[in-house]
Amino acid sequence: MRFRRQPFYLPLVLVALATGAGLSSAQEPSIPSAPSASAGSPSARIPFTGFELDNGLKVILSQDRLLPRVAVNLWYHVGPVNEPKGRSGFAHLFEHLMFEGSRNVGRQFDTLMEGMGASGINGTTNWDRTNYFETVPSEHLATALWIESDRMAFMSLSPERLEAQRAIVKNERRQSFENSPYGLSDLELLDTLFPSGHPYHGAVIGSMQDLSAARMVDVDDFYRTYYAPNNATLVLVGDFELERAKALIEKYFASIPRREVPKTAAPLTPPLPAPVKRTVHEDVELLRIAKGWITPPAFSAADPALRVSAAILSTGKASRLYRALVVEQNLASEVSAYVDANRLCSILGVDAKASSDTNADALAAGLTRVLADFAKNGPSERELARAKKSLLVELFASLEHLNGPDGESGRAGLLQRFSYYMNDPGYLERWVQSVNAVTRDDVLRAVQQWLDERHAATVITLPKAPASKPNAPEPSAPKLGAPKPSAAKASAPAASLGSPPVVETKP
Amino acid sequence: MTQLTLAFCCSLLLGSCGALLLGACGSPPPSAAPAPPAPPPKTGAKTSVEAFRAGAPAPETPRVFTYPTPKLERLDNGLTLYVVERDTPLVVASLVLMSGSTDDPSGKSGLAAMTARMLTEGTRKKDDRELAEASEDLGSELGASASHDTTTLDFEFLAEDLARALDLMAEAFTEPRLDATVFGRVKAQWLDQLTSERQEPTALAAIAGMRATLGPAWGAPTQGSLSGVRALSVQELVRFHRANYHPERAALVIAGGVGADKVRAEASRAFKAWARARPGAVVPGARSPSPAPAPAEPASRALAGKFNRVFVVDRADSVQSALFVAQPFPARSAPGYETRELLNQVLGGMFTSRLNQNLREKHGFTYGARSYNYALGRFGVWFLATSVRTDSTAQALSEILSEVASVRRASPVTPAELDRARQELLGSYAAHLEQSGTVVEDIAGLFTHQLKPEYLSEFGSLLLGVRPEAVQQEASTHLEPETLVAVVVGDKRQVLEGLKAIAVEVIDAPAALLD
Repeated sequence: MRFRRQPFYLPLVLVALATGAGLSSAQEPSIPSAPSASAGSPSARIPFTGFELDNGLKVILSQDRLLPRVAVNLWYHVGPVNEPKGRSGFAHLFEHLMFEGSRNVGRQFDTLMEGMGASGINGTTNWDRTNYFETVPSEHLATALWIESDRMAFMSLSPERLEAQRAIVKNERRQSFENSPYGLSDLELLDTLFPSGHPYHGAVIGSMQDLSAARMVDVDDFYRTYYAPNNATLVLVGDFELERAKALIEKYFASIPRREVPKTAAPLTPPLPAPVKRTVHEDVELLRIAKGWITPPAFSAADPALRVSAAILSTGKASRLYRALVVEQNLASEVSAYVDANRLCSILGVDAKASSDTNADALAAGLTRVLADFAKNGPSERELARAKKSLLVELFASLEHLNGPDGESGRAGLLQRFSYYMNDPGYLERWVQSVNAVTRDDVLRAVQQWLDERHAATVITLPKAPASKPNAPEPSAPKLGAPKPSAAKASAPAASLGSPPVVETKP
Repeated sequence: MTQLTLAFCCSLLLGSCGALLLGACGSPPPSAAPAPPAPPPKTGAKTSVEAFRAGAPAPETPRVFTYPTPKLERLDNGLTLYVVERDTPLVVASLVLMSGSTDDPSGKSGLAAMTARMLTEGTRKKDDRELAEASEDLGSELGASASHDTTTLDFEFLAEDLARALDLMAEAFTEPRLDATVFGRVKAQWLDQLTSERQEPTALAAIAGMRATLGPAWGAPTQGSLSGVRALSVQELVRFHRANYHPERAALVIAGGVGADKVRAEASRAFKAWARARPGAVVPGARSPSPAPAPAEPASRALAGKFNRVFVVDRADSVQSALFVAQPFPARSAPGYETRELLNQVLGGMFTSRLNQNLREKHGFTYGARSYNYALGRFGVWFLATSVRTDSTAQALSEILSEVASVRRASPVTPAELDRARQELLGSYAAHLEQSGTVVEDIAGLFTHQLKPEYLSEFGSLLLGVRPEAVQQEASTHLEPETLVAVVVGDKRQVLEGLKAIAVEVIDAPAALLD
């Protein structure tokens, strides 16, 4: 679950059905992963130097002089987990406000950035962290550091601009959920996994009511409390001279005073105590079943096997869910399985969108059969090797980026993730080894332990006017949540014959 | 055959031929305007007295480097080959055929797309499952798709798997099984996906908008219309494949951790059996652009400040309206493409564009708005896409119309805007070099539009040479507010009255636009 300041835009009409298969295999893009056991395979490594300024700002530098560009990537270790009561969505709203200006830079953030040829300029908020990133021509590194340090130390905001960003963020919520097919169902799944009171409650984007409630004094408090150098990590990847970069960082950041930052409580989240099933009626033609399980946190012991499991389930046309539900049984038109890895827990999710002549019971039964068989027999050696290789290829593709699209993939993003979650920016190699070491038994055990129907959240999306769908009878599940109109999901088949501004809404 | 290996050239020699000077001329970043009144600082840092913070630091000397210039070569059977060697363990490969959805015969919308889709559903030697397993064993899914101008087969794999990967690509592309039973299953799935896509307001607006702008043939969606796909038979795919899939009109584009010699040897072997078409059967090469299609109905001149036609697709209770606003625009080969790219950047192509600043930052109607100079082989279209709060629908459209009209005359592109547009475009372009995938796309574009290989390295200089007057000339020549067509996918009950005030005609989108 990530929200960002700027939508991603797909060049409409250009983008064809990328795979044709309509798999929206949503292995969490940010996640690195995997290695192939085959001898002589290239290794995954990001060379870096790390140090800490006296004020507690962590710095990680990784030089690569191929292109004359530098990725600047700044993580603040604050997110929705730190929101006060009644202020869901505030961490993300605050992220938008950080682009509104600072004392010395003024309200020139975007003109300066675009004017100097920066690319990938954005910020994103996830449950545990908020990040800000851009990739600039190397001759402008000092300017980027000047801007980032100015908003760390001297953010400024007028009440009018708070109103403007509040309106924009509400539009983002509409576009991502309320006006997006299956968006309300995605919210329902998250609310089921993280009910009121859970630190992750509110789906990062927050409720309209809480967004309306935010005041200038909240902004001031949040900024003062969490936007301290000792609560942040700065990563540079790209073309710079090491000593020069250190000097610039010292110049712009060292005099920003350290402040006391309250510790974020980190209670680990256990699986749901009992299965929960919900139904949402939406303005869609094809019903969908989305399941989710609470699984252990990012990079914990079970994580590698769970990622391999998700890949075996839905990556590619040879995957379990695709073969069974789409090809052989004609029950689904799209399937996906993903891991959304975070600090208090992760989510393993499985979605199946029905084919046009399938009812919910048949699809549910098909899904259950595939998962039960997987839990009983585990993967074949070939499936295991294939999944690991796909994770490896995905990782190498990510490593080509200086900054990945969400600022948590690409080399800078991976250094940030490993630094934050594992306290070791160099953890990538061990992570790759641990994925590489996953055995058939590991997968079998992980699936049995974590993908247990007794702890599953299930959200069934039904078309609003079931009468028009002769064979989509109402299942017996309790009806819940006011169905709203909607449409469109970014992860729709890859079928982007044209979907202009698209906000990805991965649950 | 020519050596094709390309390397990044990090020369500091100015004036080297074809050099792309990024962040050109050491131009300082635009100076920061005086800050607006700010609330008192909240952190009480001693930093408040540091004089160096007052203004943007001077940039250092920019490094010059060039975008690699691919030399192209042809294999014996006429297949074009481009290779860019890069320092990565991965290889990205794309097989590009000069035949796409604009080649679909009348009534056969979806023929190119479905033929592409069936490439990955089995070959003469392998059934669908065996092909999927063999390719995914290499770490990624073999993907095929049709765009307006081309059909492509894409694959990503480790360098060590080059030979196997090219074998699979050749097999899928040149010997697809095109099995009737599999086709039945794939067609049903495809129709479900088309249906799903039409549930998405932004996609539906684009589908309707392209047809309303370009007419039923060129405006047809690249993935096919529902009725067109329903009517397709596997025999038609077989004929289409036989007629169009020939090496003379295809290119293999490869970027990644392999050298040109190795690629040439492996590609020659893998594609050896792919036969040329019978003499005279195929005309490879760029398409000649056609004149803009006549609008479906003769358009009366719009009243000042109004759209001629707004199409509405009703979605009861929508909290937003998806908007698609478009007009015909020059094809890719028409002179002035780079100038129009810059014009579009200023108008709606970047974050600080006029349209995004207006609709998002000033009015708060949307989360984002972006426009495109969508220049294709046979035609082009300029379009803007956004989603706006339902109660701002008419006003947002009115603002869009007014921005398009004013950039033509009342409020010409300023030198500062043009500089920013240039730098933003150059910056994004340079970022293409991070990934093999985007390098492959750039090179595929060379082939699609039959551009000389040096074009990629010259693109930067071309942008730098564009004068403000030229941008203005393109704006006044090609932007025609009176021909803009708008599609609104939203709650008709709530938006209709407002739309009547800003359009000569408000029309319920006919079913044919949504097909």
